[in-house]
Amino acid sequence: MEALASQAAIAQKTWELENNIVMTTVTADSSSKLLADQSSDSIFYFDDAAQTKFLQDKPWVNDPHYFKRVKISALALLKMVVHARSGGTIEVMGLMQGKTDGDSIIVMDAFALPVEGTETRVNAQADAYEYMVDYSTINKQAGRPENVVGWYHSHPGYGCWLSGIDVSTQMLNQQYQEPFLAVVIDPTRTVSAGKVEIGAFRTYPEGYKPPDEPVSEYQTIPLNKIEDFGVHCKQVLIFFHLGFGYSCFAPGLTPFYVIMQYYALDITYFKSSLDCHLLDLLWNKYWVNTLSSSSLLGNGDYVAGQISDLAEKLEQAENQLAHSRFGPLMAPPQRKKEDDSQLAKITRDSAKITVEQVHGLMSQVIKDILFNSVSQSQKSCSEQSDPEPMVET
Amino acid sequence: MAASESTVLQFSSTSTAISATVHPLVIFNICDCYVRRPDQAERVIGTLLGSILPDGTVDVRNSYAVPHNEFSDQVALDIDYHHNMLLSHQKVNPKEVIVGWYSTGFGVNGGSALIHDFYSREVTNPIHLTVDTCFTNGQASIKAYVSTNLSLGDRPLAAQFQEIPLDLRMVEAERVGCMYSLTF
Repeated sequence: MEALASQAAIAQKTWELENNIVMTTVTADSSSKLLADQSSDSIFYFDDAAQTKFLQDKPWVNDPHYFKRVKISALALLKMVVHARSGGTIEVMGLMQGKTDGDSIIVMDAFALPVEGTETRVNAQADAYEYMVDYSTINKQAGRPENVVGWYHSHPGYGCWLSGIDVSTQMLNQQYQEPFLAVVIDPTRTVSAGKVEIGAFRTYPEGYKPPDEPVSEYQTIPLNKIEDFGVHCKQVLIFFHLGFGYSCFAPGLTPFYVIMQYYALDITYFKSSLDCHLLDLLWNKYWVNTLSSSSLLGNGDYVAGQISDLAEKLEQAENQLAHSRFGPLMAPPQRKKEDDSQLAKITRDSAKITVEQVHGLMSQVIKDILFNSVSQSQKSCSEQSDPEPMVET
Repeated sequence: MAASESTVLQFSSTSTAISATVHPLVIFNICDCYVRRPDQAERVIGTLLGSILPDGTVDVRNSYAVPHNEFSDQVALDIDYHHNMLLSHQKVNPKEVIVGWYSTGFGVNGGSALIHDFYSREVTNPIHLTVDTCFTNGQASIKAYVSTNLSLGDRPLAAQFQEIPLDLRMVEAERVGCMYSLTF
């Protein structure tokens, strides 16, 4: 038993090293561990005077790129993900509470708003505002003095970015409710990929020209949303202009013109020491649950959608290729280079979908071999099928 | 001599075999409230929201803390706050109703009985969840209780907190979030 425990400890350390997990230094001594716990819990302390002063100073007015980082608490993350998922394919939204700390915004809690999200909604209706005011007042009574520092909403299945409506909403927020943050969560991709899809953004004020940004992570955007995406984010314009539906921030291609209206912030997370204990407890009890769940089961619709979108993009690329052959007025060499990279992107997309599916299948096969083949003689046939997931999908 | 009344202390069995399932979000909420409780409070209590499944299981999905004050024998609960929060939560999730209440700390005490009484007036047969945030026995024990009546013959004697089986249930999204939380 002890050997197993030490093996597990070694395995965890190796994994942490591989994943660059930064642990706050905690010594083995129990009393100083308490101190370390307290200091890492100090992030929860709300300094009223400092916060008010910061709100008066308004250092963000002079620097539109002032806030660079976001720290989200485990509780807020969990609440937002659960709320986003509970909406299914409907967008949901809510507000986040927290405080600021120099150039970072700290999100400590989140709560849902009773509004129906649609793409045509510009602002939350009046009763949502009323709700927000009520909820904040009640919270302050209960000793939670944090202010609302942002809003979050979900983009089920189509990635983390700000749509046109979102951009205008956020610009309005940043005029009247500073400091304010916009967070987008994709619950469908979260469940299918097994890691949380989340993005935090702030918009630039009207007319501000941002310095050139390094390329961000590639993400695939469905065709029916690409127009919206393209208008508001830099470098996509070129593809949109040529009738392509790609969102890739590819270096080396000159954009026709740049309209960069928002930027993404770095997200880190934190949790209290109590949360750590709780998570350990959860892990010890429910590793079985994790093992028995399968990402393939819940996301059939989403995967089908992805594949059909890929098919459409493929068709478009094919048509473009056909045109370039018969269009002598177009500049052929440059076109060809772009077409090649279009195909490369389609390839990347399809590889991504395939990889997710293969992962799911691989894990099922491995589990089957590990658990079912050993005691085949004893177990009945029902054991051969997928174990009933204890997790509602 | 035929004693029509039995003189044996009877534990009346619960009407249905009640069990409870709780979502990790609720436990996180409770821990968060505990970490941020006002300094003079020893423990935190609050309301549990959820629904009752068709097979009788109580599914606890959400919770919120209720400010309270506890003295040796008396408990003062902020009822207005409790009702206001309930209304707010029901606007967002109309299907969630009160299913019970929770408290941090190990075991139950006199004050808990009073609080349980209050919640019994809000909903029939509330469940009581205790989350041991101090790790008294070296582990975080999460237990659920219902109140059963102890009667001697016809005379009701007392109400007893009887433990009921508790299960942790996760929606897929919660599982991803929890597992991700393990990594940072």
